[in-house]
Amino acid sequence: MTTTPTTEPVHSREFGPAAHPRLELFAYAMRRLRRPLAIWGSSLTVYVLIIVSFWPSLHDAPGLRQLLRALPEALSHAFGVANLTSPAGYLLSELFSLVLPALLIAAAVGAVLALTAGDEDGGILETVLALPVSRRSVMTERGLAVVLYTVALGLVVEVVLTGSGAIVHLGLPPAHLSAGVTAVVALALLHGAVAFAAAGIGARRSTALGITTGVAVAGYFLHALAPLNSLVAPLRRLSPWDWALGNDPLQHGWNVGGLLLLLAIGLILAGAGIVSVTRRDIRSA
Amino acid sequence: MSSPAIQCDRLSKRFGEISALSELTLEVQAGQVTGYLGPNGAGKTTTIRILMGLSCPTGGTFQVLGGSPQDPAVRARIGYLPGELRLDERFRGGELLEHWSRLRGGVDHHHRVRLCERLDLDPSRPVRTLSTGNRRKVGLVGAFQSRPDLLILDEPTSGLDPLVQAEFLLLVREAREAGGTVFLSSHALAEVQRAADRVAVIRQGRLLTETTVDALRHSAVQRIEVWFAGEPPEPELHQIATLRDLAVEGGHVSFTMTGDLDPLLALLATQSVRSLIAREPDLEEAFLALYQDRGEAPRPGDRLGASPT
Repeated sequence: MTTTPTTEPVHSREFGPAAHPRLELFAYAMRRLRRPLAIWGSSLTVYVLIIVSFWPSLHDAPGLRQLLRALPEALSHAFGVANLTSPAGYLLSELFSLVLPALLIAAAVGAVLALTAGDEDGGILETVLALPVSRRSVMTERGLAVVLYTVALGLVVEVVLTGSGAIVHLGLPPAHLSAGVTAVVALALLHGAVAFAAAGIGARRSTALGITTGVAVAGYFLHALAPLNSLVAPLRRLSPWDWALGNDPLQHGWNVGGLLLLLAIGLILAGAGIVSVTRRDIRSA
Repeated sequence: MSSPAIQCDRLSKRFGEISALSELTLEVQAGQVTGYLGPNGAGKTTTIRILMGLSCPTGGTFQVLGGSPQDPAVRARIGYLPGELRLDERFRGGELLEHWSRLRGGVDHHHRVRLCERLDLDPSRPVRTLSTGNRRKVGLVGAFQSRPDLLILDEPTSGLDPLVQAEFLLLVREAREAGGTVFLSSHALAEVQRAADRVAVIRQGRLLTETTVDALRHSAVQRIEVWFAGEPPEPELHQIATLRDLAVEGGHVSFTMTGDLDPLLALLATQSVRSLIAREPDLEEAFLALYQDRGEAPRPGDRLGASPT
């Protein structure tokens, strides 16, 4: 129980607010994402390794080719097994048509909601926003952290696929692999931006999760099922899944138009989320 | 005379149909400790969250330190303790304090260490292992560590044990002596009266009064019980003008009083008294007394006590 000595160093009030809180906000968000990065990264690694390890046995199974050829074309397209015995076809159907996008979307959306609506619901955000930092920088830097996090998970997938693919002689061109991973990462980021915008306008975590899940599921079914009916087939163009994967980047390489569309809409959503946060009340716990 | 640290002019906040705050007009003088009193749900937290820029009023205007709390430069001069303090459980107390001080910039590390010692807080413990009271200490160190010009503390002493409460009161006094302003809310007069120079009393979103602590306590209704050795001096008790609700049961007498106790003590001195209980004035009863004195709901800005020195 000492009283404050008078020989105290001059405190910082005179120097005004912190000049560089920015790096600290970003660093904090990255620290929060460290553990999920480890968990998602290792899960994705294991999953990719399992899928790739099945490649040699599938490749050498002639009966399977005949079975797949017997499927009606529309059906095999819908399930993404149109070309199961080429490397790209196998990977597309097993990884890139549903599971990998779904996993990366879940990872990105989970990270966004933890750092935005989740923190607000929990009353943690209020404590930070009362500090001399702008709401805009808090949101921007948390968003950027999720972008980095999702890209890192994409890199994990790409590295594991390249390494294990070389061992089993998958023979997928590296550029096509990069194009496919980038498309899936961009799709995940778009859904992250949907969650970010929902949280930004003030949706609770559960509501924002519901909205984002709805967008993801609707988009997937538009992309996968609309082509089965020629009447509704053009509607698949509305699906973000179609922008990312419609051009089949594993088979045909980079689809710059689709990526730019995903990027543009993602940025608009993120911007809307940031602007909304600066104009509304922050929930308390 | 310096400008007020906090200035609210007809501040209102509605949540849909519910009016949480109606036309609150309040001035908090710089360099003073002001208690913000009211029962739970009176609108204290609503006011404080508006003052911190976390929530926008639906009517009226306000200034904090001469500006808007939406401006980070204004918030840089404020230390804030939320009423519902929630801490990120993934970190240690000290890590959160370090994070907050980096966001503020240039917090004196030694000052933080000393604050932790004084409040008996171990900053190396993970937040999830901390009790409510210890989490509150993390919040308090966070509010005090930057030596802000203005401290806005929502229910700062709830959950703290008496020793730490005493240390907290000392910190508040030191902040004032260093020229700071403290605005702290509480639902209990007893918590505030030792620290505050002035009190603003709010109820149902309206300011009841803004006065000195002494004046409020003086106007508060105090419940008193006396056990007499013999027959209670009932007629003489009735003669005390400020004594109400007299109930006699054998040698046991209970009643309420407002204002000075001198006439009662003079009477008791002539009697043989076995025991006496004078309860801490109840804030609810103080509110009721305020209403009864006016015969109507008071207008904002009404003053009861003497002006501040």
